[in-house]
Amino acid sequence: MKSYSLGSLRNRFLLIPAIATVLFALLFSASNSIIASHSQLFFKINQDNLPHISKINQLSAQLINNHVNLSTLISDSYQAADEKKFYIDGRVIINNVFNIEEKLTDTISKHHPLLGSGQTISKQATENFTKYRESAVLTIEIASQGSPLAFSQLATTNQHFNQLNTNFLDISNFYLSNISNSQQKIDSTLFDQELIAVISVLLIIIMMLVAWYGAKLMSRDFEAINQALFNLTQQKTDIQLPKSSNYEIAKLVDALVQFKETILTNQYQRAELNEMVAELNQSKDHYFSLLDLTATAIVTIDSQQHIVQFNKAAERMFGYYAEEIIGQPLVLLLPKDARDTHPKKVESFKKKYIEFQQLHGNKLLRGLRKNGQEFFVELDIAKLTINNDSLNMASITDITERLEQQEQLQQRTQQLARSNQELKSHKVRLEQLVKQRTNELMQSESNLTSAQQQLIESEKMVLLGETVASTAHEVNTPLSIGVTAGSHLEEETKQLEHLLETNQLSRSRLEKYTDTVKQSAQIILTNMARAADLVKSFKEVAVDQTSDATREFNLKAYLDEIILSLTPRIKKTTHTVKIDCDSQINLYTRPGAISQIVTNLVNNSLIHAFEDRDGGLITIVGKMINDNVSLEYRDNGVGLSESKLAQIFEPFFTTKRGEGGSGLGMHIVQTLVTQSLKGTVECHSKQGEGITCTMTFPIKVPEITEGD
Amino acid sequence: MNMRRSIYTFLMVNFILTCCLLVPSVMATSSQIASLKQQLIGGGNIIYMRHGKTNYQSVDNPYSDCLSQRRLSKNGINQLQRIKRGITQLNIPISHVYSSPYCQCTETAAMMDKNFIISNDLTFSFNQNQHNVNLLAQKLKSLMLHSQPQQSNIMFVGHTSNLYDSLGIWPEDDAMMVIFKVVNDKLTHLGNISPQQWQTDDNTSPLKQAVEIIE
Repeated sequence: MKSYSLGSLRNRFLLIPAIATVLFALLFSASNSIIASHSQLFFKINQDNLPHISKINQLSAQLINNHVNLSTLISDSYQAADEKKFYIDGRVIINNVFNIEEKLTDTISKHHPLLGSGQTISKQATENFTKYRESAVLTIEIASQGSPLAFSQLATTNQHFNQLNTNFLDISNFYLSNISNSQQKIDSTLFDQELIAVISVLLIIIMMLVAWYGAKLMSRDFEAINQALFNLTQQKTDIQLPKSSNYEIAKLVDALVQFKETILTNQYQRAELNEMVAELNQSKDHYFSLLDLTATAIVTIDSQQHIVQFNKAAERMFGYYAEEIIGQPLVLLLPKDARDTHPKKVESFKKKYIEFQQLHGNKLLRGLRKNGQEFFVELDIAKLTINNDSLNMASITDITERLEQQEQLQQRTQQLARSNQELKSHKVRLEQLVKQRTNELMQSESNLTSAQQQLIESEKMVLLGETVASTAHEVNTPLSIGVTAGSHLEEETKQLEHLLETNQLSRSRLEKYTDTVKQSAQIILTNMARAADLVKSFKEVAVDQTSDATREFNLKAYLDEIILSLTPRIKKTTHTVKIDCDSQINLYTRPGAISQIVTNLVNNSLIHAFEDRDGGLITIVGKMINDNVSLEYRDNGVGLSESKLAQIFEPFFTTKRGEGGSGLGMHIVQTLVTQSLKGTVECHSKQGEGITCTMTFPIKVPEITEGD
Repeated sequence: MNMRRSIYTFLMVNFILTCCLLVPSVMATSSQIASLKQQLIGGGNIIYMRHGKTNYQSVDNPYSDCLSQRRLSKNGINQLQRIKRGITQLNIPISHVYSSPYCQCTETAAMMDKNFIISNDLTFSFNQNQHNVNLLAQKLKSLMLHSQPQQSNIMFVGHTSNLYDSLGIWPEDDAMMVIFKVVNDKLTHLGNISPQQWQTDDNTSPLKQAVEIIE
């Protein structure tokens, strides 16, 4: 409703007169313009058409005159063709033609631009005049040459002339028709008068409609507001308010909205109040129900010490019905010996605001049933003030049974304490026994470890002894050969001395002796070197095996020496040992451990794996894996079953029990790898497919500290 | 018989009388014509030449192409060929030939010099209104005054009406030359040479010239 945004109500009331003024102005303007148009029509008739008719007629007369002159000139040419004269006379005629053409163009084009059919007529006239002029010029030109063609050209020019005259007549008729049209327009004045009358009537009707519609629109808001107010007074809040941009109406609407909100708030508050009252009533009923349901006896007394409330639990506790006890004094519920002192205690309770329980010191409170039986009670008192009356609500609990239970509990607690004491002393004895047994066990374990260590050491010594024996035997051979060679040399030398003394020494004999000396010396040197190598390797391996020291050494060279020291034992068999080791591996660790590990493994292979077998192969592979060394020992002997493989590192596990096997060999290997070399060892085997033990340990073993 | 003799006698007398009248007139102007030709041989002249004889058997349509315009007649072409021969034999120098755009003029100019130039200022003035007639007259005068020929001659091929409008001189015959010279910034009319006055080696007989004139 944009039409309502017209400012104040005063402006709205001014709207209708304003519209009426505008409509009257329009009517006045329309009448004025009709009168003005009629004036213009008269002016046009006077100014345009009549002078033009006159001018066209004038031009037509001039053209006829000039054309007569042209015809005369052409007729004369037949008699005497003087070119120069023709030109001079012809020039005058041509100039006249041009002048008439110019005036014609000016008349029909410039001063009175024609429309519709008039435009076509003027265009035809202009074109025909051009043709006439060109034809006339050509006629004169041909005639000046005395050509007979001039007459035929003159005939063409005459045709154009006739057309042109027809055009002039058309133009005159056009202007005449214009005058006729204007006359018709003037005649239509009467129609215009009727039109003005009709328009006036229409305007009056429009004004009435506008007034009716405006009044309706303006009163609509007030009617809506009035209806809304009536509804609000009837407590009907569902009202329709006008959406007006008018300031005054907007203010009225705002007031109505506020009024509506106030009514709504009142309705809401009333509803809330009713709800609260209902809740309160419900709460009261609930409260009394709860009081009756609760197991605690509740008795309420007023300031006069009369009972005003007595719940079901109280009925059960004291044996009175509520109906009979309510309104009675409280003392009815007290033992007779307490009744005299009760009023004083109540007064004291009122003044001091202390716990009622304290009024009685440590004495237990007592109640009196209807049947005269006394019982112990515990009570809590709540003070209430209702309608300026001070009420005391006592919640009373019969504690007679509880007191009995407490006494029983106390007796049982004492029994438990005694039992607990006995248990504690028993526990101490047990702990002492466990400690003693633990010490004994630790001692046993220590003894066992020591025995095991001794066994390992003795095993080492046995192994070393065997090595010594075999090495001594091995060293004996080259030494014997050396001795034999030396004896032979001595024998030969004696023979040579004898020959020298007897002067029987021949040169050939001397040369033979020399050869013998050379061969003997060679034999002695070779065997002594062999003995020295054996002793040296034995020394290193034996020293390492008896020592736990660390030093730097080359793994491959050391493995070679170990195998060399084992040669006496291996040589007795048909088995071979193959070392496949990276010669670049230098270790800083305990060589004795490696020596003993390899010796034990080789011994195991010789004794167990290759038993009753020939041509066994032992392969020792050494390679670097990052900062660790992987030492793989494998043989192609009998191998081990899965169950035996699981026990292989257990001490005293042997398959040759009673045949000299101590069962410590592989245990010592594991101990040395894990403790001395700080590495790991694992063995894989299948029955009949040999065994593979892989040991991995760091290149550089950490130094053993005190703590270790 | 006497009648026939009388007629023959009359014709003979007429012929003799005609020859007697024409030959002296030809002989009388020949010295002036020779002088004019000598003037042309020396150069520095302006020649206004009327177009050659045209064929008036057809109606002209001056606003279309040459096929629908008046063209040179056979006699006109012969006339111009003789004039050209005469000019050539006398070694008359002509540096530039300007022509009206009308076909009878361009054909005439082409026979004088193939490298002629068309000038709209020389267009036919007779069919124009007075304003344009005056304008064309002024332009022709200005062209001739400012052409300034030195060692050679300059030729304008146009219409009779243009020269009359401009300088009041009327060249009576087709292909007639009107000779001018600029003296003290003014055009001085030296004389006219008719087509018949161009004698050539193979056609020098005054009798033949008389026959041509009769034709």
